Amino acid sequence: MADLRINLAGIESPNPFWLASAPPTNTGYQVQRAFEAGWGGAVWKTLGDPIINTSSRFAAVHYNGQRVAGFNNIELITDRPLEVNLKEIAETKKRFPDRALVASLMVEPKREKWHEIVKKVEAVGVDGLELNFGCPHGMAERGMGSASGQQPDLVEKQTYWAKEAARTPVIVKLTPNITDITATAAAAVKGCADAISLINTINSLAGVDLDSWNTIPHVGGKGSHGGYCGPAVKPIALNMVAECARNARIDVPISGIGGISDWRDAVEFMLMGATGVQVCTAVMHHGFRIIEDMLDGLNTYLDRKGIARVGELTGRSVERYTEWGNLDLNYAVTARIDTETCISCNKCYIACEDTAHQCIDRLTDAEGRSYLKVREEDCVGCNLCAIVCPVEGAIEMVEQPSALGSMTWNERQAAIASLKRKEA
Amino acid sequence: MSEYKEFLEEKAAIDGYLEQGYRIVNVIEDLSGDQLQLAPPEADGYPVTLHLRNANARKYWTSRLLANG
Ligand SMILES: Cc1cc2nc3c(=O)[nH]c(=O)nc-3n(C[C@H](O)[C@H](O)[C@H](O)COP(=O)(O)O)c2cc1C
Ligand code: SF4
Ligand code: SF4
Repeated sequence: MADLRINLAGIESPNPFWLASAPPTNTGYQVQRAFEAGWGGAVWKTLGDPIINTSSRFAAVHYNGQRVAGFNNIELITDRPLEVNLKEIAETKKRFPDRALVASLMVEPKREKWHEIVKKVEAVGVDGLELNFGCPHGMAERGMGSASGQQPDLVEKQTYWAKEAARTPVIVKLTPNITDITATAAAAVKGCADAISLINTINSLAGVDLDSWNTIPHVGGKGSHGGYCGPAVKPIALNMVAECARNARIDVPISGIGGISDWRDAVEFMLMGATGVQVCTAVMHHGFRIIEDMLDGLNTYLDRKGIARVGELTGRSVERYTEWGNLDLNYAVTARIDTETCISCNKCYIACEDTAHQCIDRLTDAEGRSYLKVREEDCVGCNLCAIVCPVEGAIEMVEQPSALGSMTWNERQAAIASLKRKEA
Repeated sequence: MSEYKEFLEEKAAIDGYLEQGYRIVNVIEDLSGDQLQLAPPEADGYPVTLHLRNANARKYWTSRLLANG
């Protein structure tokens, strides 16, 4: 069995799976039950001046029979007084001293406010702090959450204020509702953050009811934009984590969040630079006990790969993620259809004929049976046919050897530039 | 014409001139592709311009250029 322990900027936990700050970490009762189930850490539901929530609060996007492909909420931070939360945090830490217990914080962008809450929360023995600069609704209208998280100067300043008072590591949680996540991540680092976590939820409206014309969800006939999360946001989150991981200015550990539903998702985030991960929607959908499969799956994977410590995964795929201009234009794959496993559904033919490069031919064999064959010389290797094919493995994308050496767009344009210099 | 045939034709033209000793001296990249200018091997020869429309052909001549340093 591999060693699953992680150390995120000094915060230790027995495994890389933490609960994200959200309803599952609202109370001591819940966090303690999660720890009993096996979660390695938890980021407590964001603390600050207690708010008032609406009813209803959540909505989900179900897609073609898949429940909760995406999840939407208009919930704010904790609605419970700070003292109540602090008492339960202290009890939880006492019962589970080996787990990572991190307090998520959000206050007005004022130095004394940050100092006050940091001191109060650290006094009850948390292992670290997470500054919530990400909540996209409700709090933003009060100048907090993503309103301050979208401005690099405010991120830097507030991080610095929290760090002035903090004795434990400070994680800055970033909002994805920004054009370039590395701008705010770098600002957090400039403000002396010990780590960053991403992503918080993405601005969203889950839907509109076709009968009542109300928003989904609605509160007495009115709706407000919410925050989107769950499986649908994973690719967005993974890209943002990778963008931070490969940016030299952002030289702090990363806690990966966004659509992580199983151990495979977690491994992908770690390969792209995360030290550990946080989970919310998957737990809200299936309960705390999904941790059992996550731990089993991760252990089996590491053993199969011959990896002794989970930390060895962190960042291993980052160097493979680069600008488009560094990709080899002479690398080529083409589609190949396996007529043995093909069920002749025609999905690939239609996809290529209508929306790709018209290079799948419908042919007839000696017995008069029709079959599909890719005209490899016209196939651009776009992958579309393999994506739409319902039979796993019926279409294989096969690498084609190239007589030409590797050539990236950047190399091509540099060669053209030097040609022009010679000509001039 | 299939894009592959278009590529083969444009590639043959590039290969033909390079084999005759023409040198790639300039390119103008515009909305209709690459206007590739080649200088003849002999001083009194005529320069030629190839209009390369095909994406693979536009990739091909730069790969040849890079391969020849
Ligand atoms: C109902 C709900 C409430 C949330 N509340 C908070 C919060 O108080 N503080 C915070 O930092 N993030 C909050 N989040 C965001 C999550 O911590 C997490 O960043 C996001 O849901 C993405 O992870 P997921 O795809 O695993 O859900 C909340 C998310 C949901 C769904
Ligand atoms: S990879 Fe793209 S171009 Fe090639 S056969 Fe499939 S759909 Fe057509
Ligand atoms: S999509 Fe797959 S199963 Fe359907 S015809 Fe194409 S190869 Fe066969």
